[in-house]
Amino acid sequence: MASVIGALPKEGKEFIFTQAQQVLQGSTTLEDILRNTVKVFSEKEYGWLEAIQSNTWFRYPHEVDKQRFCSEEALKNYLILQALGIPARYALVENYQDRGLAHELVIVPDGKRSFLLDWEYADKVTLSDHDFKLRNGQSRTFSALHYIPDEEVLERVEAMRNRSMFLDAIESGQHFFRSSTDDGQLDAYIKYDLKEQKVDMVFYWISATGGLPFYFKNTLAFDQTIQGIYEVGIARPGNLFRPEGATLMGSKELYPVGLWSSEYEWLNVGVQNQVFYHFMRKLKNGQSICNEEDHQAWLDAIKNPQTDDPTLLKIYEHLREYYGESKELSPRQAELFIDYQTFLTDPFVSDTEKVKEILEANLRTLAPFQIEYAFVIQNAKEMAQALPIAQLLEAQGRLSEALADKTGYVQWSGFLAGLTPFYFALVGESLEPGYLEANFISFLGVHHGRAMALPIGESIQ
Amino acid sequence: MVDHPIFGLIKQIPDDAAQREAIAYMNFKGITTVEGLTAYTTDQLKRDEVSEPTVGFLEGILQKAYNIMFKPPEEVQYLDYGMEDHGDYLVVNGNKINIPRRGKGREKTEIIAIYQSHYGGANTSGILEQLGGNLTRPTVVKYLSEAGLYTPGQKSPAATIEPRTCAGGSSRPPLRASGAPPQSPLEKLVQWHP
Repeated sequence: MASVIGALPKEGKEFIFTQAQQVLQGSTTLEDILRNTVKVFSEKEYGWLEAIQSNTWFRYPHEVDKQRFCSEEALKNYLILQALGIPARYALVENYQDRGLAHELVIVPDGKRSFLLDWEYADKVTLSDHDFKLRNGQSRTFSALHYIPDEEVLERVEAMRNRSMFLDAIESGQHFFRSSTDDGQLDAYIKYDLKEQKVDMVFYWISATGGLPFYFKNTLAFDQTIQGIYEVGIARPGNLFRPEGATLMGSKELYPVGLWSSEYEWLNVGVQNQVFYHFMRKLKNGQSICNEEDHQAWLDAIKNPQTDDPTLLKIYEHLREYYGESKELSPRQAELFIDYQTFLTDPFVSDTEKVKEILEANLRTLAPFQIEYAFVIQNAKEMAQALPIAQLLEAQGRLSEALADKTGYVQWSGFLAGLTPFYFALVGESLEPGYLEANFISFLGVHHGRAMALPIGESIQ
Repeated sequence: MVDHPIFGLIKQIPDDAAQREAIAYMNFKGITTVEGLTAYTTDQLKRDEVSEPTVGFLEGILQKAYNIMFKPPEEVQYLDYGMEDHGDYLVVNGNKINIPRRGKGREKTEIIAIYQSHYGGANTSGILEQLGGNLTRPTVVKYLSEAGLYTPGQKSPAATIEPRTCAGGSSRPPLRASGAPPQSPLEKLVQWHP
């Protein structure tokens, strides 16, 4: 059977054949081919925003510019492998990594094992009913696996482009975008719940320090009137650097501010340590807290770990994985991580009562939860720097129009288009610190409420 | 034995343009293994507009790296009435007529005789009379139908075509420079009054 590439537009065919040739020329084994196929887009960012902005929603590989999402990546991988006569299968998995989101990838059968091509890597895996077991022993879980028949692969692209598949796509959830700065990494997810008539957007911030992952969840529900529910907090640190340990859309692994009780001691200590760290760094005018020797020891250890300590090994492994294959660790990211991890080993920091006392004496007494709020403000400020506000606004506008078109609830447009960027803009660098913090306190005051009106601009100083 | 993946062969093509052409061709034909490629003749590749250098590279790599060859070229014999003998099949009236394997049906010569008799002006009964033996009416009808020459109850118009001989001794019917069949009077009229 001739491959599906014949059905692509001329530029699409040209692109795929050129890429296939380059992949082949740089490879000596099948595994090389698979790895190099994934790398074709490795310089691009992850995201759905650009596809939405272009109004095509799902682009053919030759149309992709600076950003691609998992479906576009899977399509590119599938087509390049098809061009080389490699029996690639386009696959869709449900509830990937227990995030409540679907995910698309490519599987190449190879004897008893298979090759998995995800958007960041290609690896030989053992495939079972509910997970892929990677060579390094890690597992990628899912609730169901579906293979898309060859003749339907391009049909799905067209269905997305003409929006007949739009609700399916948004209902199964999308990893909206990933954006990095020197301070950390922001992942955004979006999902529409048809039954509940609501949209969830989760922004997940992983600080380069390797501290507790922070999230901002924005739920827009439509019943009699549109209402927004906001929630900020900490996601369970099942994994130091990735959101994989958390069921982000399901909330069961999320710990909202205000619900932190003494039963979550690890969480309170983690929050306090991070606030204390940033407090100390400010005292040193933003310079590293720990000395150069400690930093060098960490760098050496990451490159060449000579320890049996499982905790340390796990940290090294995560660090390499996060900043590994597709991205180099920036000097600032390395500095932050090492400085914070070294800071945590200081005996003074382990005296949590003493640290709390110092913090409470030095932080302004704004509210009973001052340490938690300082934590939220620090993370939100960093997160705001990673937010592509203009692009997100435009993409949200188009998304809400399409949603309104499909659901009949025209009010989606006004709300969805601006909410999240608006709140992130509040915590941007342009605002005065006092103004910012006052508003954030007000904002957090409704994190469990239904109120929409925030007393913006009323300083409590 | 496991077939060799086609990308292994393509990888060995030393010329960029030829490599690119090979990727596109294999994809167009759905060829995924080296062994799958050897089901084709070099003539077929050329007919599909694969360039001579690319065919040459493929041929060389097949021999050197895999010790196999393209399918041998077909030897076509041009018979009377525009019929072609491709060895294991005939082309009659533009239609491909498969020849049963030896011992599994009619011999090739018997089948050719049916068509020759038809073109000679015989109808079904006439063919049966002329060829006799163990030939049956259903067999005659079957082969005439496969070639699109059977019209129930009528004498085939094809019977009026005279066998012609080309210069050089070939019995292939004359064609125009373009390779198209001779012009019909109607076609001439259309060209005259565009």
